[in-house]
Order: sequence, then C-alpha cells, then structure tokens
Amino acid sequence: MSCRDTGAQLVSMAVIVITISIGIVGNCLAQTAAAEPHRVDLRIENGRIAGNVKTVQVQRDEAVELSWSADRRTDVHLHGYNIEVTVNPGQTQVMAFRARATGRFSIEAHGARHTVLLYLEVQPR
Amino acid sequence: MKQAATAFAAALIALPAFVGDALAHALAQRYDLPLPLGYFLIASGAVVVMTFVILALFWRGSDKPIEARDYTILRGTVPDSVVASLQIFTVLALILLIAAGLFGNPATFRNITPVAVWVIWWVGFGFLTAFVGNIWPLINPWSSVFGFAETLARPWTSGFSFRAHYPRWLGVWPSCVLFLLFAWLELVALGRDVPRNVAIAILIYSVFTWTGFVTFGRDIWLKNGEVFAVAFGLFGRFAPLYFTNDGRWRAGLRPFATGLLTRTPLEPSMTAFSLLILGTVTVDGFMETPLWAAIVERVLPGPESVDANPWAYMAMQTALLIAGPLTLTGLYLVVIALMAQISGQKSTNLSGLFVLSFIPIAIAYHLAHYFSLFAIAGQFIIPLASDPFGYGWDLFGTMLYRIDIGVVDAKSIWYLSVIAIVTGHVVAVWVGHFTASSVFRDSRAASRSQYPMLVLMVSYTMLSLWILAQPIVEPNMK
Repeated sequence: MSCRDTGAQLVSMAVIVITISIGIVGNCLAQTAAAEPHRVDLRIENGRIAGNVKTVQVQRDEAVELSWSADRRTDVHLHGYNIEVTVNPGQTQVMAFRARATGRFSIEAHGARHTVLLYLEVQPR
Repeated sequence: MKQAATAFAAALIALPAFVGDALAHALAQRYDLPLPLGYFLIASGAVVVMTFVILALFWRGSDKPIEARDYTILRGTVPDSVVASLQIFTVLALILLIAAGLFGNPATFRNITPVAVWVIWWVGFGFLTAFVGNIWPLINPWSSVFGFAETLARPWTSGFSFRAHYPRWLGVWPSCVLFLLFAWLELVALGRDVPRNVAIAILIYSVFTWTGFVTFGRDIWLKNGEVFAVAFGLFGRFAPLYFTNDGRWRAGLRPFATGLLTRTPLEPSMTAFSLLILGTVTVDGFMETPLWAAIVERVLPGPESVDANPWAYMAMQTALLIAGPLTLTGLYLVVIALMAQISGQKSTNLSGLFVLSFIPIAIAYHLAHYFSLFAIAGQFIIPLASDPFGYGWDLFGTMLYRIDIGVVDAKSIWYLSVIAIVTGHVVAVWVGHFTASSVFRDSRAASRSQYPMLVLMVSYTMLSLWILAQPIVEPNMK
C-alpha cells in the first residue's frame, strides 16, 4: 500500500512539474509582439458576410483592423471588446484595436434582431 | 415623484458604458475558445491510459477489500460568532437581492440581483462547495429566518411546524422536480436575466420553502425538499471540509472525494437526483455546440427562424433538458443491469452505490466550462456592490470599475480543463474501485462486472471533453 502511495505521489509530482514547465516555456515564447496590423476586410450582403467567412482568427496582442463595408446601413457590434460601428453603403468603417484578451467573440448585426455575423477568435500565443 | 424620476433618469445616463454590451446580451455569455485538437487528444489519451493503469494496478479482484473508515484528518468547532455573522450576512443579502430585483434598475448588468444569483452564488458558491466545503447548511438564509422566527415566538408556541408525516417513498423527489425547474429557469427561460424575474422567483421559492418547513418540520424539508441543500450536499461530498451539527457546528477535514465513498446505497430518489444533475451539466454545454445548432436548423430552418419562433426553440431546449438526464439514466440502468447479471447482486442495490462515482467527472467538467465565465462575468459584482440598485450610488468607490475580459488567458483555461478532466476521471474510477471492492468481496467474476461501468465513465468523460472542444455557436447562425 505504501509503495502504491509513493507511486501515486511520484506520478502527481511529475504531472505538476511538466505542466509548470510547459507553461513557463510557452509564456517566454509569447513575449514577442506583432508590429504590422492584422487587417481583415469584411463585406455584409443581405445581412450576411460575403464569401461565407464564419470566423476570423488573430493572435493575442496583435493590432487588429476589421474593415467593414455593407450593402445597406448596418450596426455592427463586436462583443467582449465592446466596439460598435455603423456601416453605411459605399463607405468603409474600421474597428481598430489591440487583441489583448483571448477568446471567441461574436460579431453581431444589431437591428430589430441581433444576428451573429461571424466570430472573432483571439488565439493565445 | 417627478423629481425622483428625473434624478433616476440622470443617474442612468451618467452610468459608465461598460454595461452597453451586456444590456443586449444574456448573462451567461461565454467567450471561451474551443479546446484545440492537441489538448483534446492528449486529454482523451490520458483518460484512456489512466483508466487502464488503474485497472491494472488496483482492479485485479479484491484480495484485500477496502474497509470503510473515517478519513477525517482534523476536527474543529466553528465559533458561534462566525456562524451568526455569516447567517446575518446571507439573510441581509437575500433581502437585498429581492429588494434590488423588485425596485432597482431593470437592466441586467445595472442591478446586482442577476449577477449575484447566477454567477456569484450558483457558479461561484457551487465551486466553493465542491472544492472547499459545503457551508450552505450553516448559512442557508431560509433556514436562518425560520429558526430566528421560532426563537422569537418561543414564549407563545413551541414551534411553527405541524410536523406532518413525511412519507418515506417521497424521498428527495420534490428536489428532483425543483431542480429540473431551476435548470429550466437557468438554461431555457426567456427573461432569466431580468432582475425583477429573478427576485420574483426567489420570493416564490422562499414562500414554498417556508411552507415546507411549516408542514413537515425544518430538518425533514432541508433533507428532502430544499433543492439547494440537497444539491450543495451532493457537490460537498467531493470537498475536503465537511460540517456536522450536534448543537454546535463542527468542521472536519478529509482528503478530497472521500465523502463520495459509501457502503450504504443511496435512496432511489437520490440516485435519480444525482443522475439529473449529471445530465443537466452536460446538456448545458451541449446547447452551445454546432451539433445542437445543426439539429435546431433542421427543425427551424432559415437564418432568423430561431428569433422568429422563440416558443418552438424553447420547446426544443426543454425537450433536450428532459431527454439528456433520461438518456443518461437509461444508459446507467443498462450498465447496472449488466453488472447485476454478471455479479448476481441486486440491481437496486448497485444503482444506489455507483452513481456517486460519476460526480467528480461532472465537477471537473463544470469547472472547465464555467471558470472563465466566473472570472469575467463575476467581476460585475465589483461595481454592482457599490450600486446594487443601479441608482447611481457609489458606496465603496468601485462603481467605475471596468470589466477586464483578458483576466484569464485561453491557454490557462485549456490547461485547467485538461488537468481537471483527467483528474476528475481518475478520481471517479478510484471511487468506483473503492465501491466495487467493498461490494464485491472476493470473486474475480464480480470484479469483472465493473467493465461496463468503466465504459460508461470513459464515455461520459469523453463527452465532456468533446463539448469543451466545440466552438460555442448560437443556433441562429448558419
């Protein structure tokens, strides 16, 4: 029984040590920040994103520019980051921000109804 | 009156913009990234490997059966003053939540009630109960108020309760019905984030609970019909701290999960309650998966049909909420029947013994699923503590606090998820092993009867992992 206990302790110690070391290495690698803004052009047609784009992926700490155009007046809202722009036909509107928080954030067209246009995924480094 | 209304309107306008996002949205909106494939594979591999390792190390026929014993390491007494302060705090909190919900700002994130109830209490206090200890019996506000009223009335009456006979067969079935209702309010009901609705639900439940106390006696009702006492009691079995009352509150410290070890089978109603909780936890996550969205699309095709048919969508969710726990119960009973056939033991006995071993898997999944929500949405309590009614007060100077959505990195959540799920599974298999070795004394054939249970455990864990690896989608997006 004591032998088993020691074994179990060793296994759990090993798990903890491995986890912590992966975390440290990962964080060290993540210290480099991007310089060029990550620009994505998005066009809304008939209340949907043209080209069937369902997610936009960026890296954490990137400078992101989401550039919007639309065939009719649309209020676009990026949740979480809480950025809202109103896009008029023939015009582009840019959501510019630094992606400091990771996560999967819905971007919705707000009007009489809220419909999800696509998701912004900010991936960790 | 008009002046007050003007002041109120001014206060609304003056409020900071951080609530703008939340106003339009459900309280329980999660921003979690799906668990990446690599993490998913490592976790599922570890689950399978660990299952076989435990199987090989421990499950080879029980030559020396594990004896049930008391695992308590440390004992102590909780000072009466601490208990009294906590009770006063929770009773005041209950009054505040009802008052704020009824008379405060009607916007979800400008009123303390929705956040306090759904995020801080149900999720946060749930974590505390599972990972530290279940203090609900000490602080239960309904129990405190009732006890206090009885003490005050002592000169005139010996108690407020008729002490009607509580039928044994009824068990915790009232709690099963109440939990289903509660889960429905949490996961399905429209307007569950509206402060007034939350307050009214609390009021109705308060009256219902006190009626239960009056009819059957407080202790009987707390054991059977106060659904949160029953639910937290179940989560609390996993926790290292536990509390008993022999006139004063005593605390005991024991290793994690030893409270799940039992040699006396649960009552059938308690087995049903446990399966209901296990099933509901899974349904909660499943409702955000692309698979569920695809099923909804089949029934309600078209881009805006979910919004256009809210009742049809709610009916689907309700059906899922009932079908999920029923499916799990069906599978569980099949496994139990198989075990009974192999071992020759009575299946009613077995079904009451093995259900607790699934609890660690559900707790682990619940942690992985809700941790970031708690860390992000839970922050709303900071500004709301200063302005619980949403009138523009600033009691503690925290009203202008802004929510930091970057407070936990996705990578930390992924690590947490993998470690929690694998650990939860290992603990579950271990609890199952303990139970088996105390039930099936010596025969190896009996021990082999555990394989069906292991298959179900691995499947349940894998389902949890699979849900974590799914991107969260709302069903109206195609």
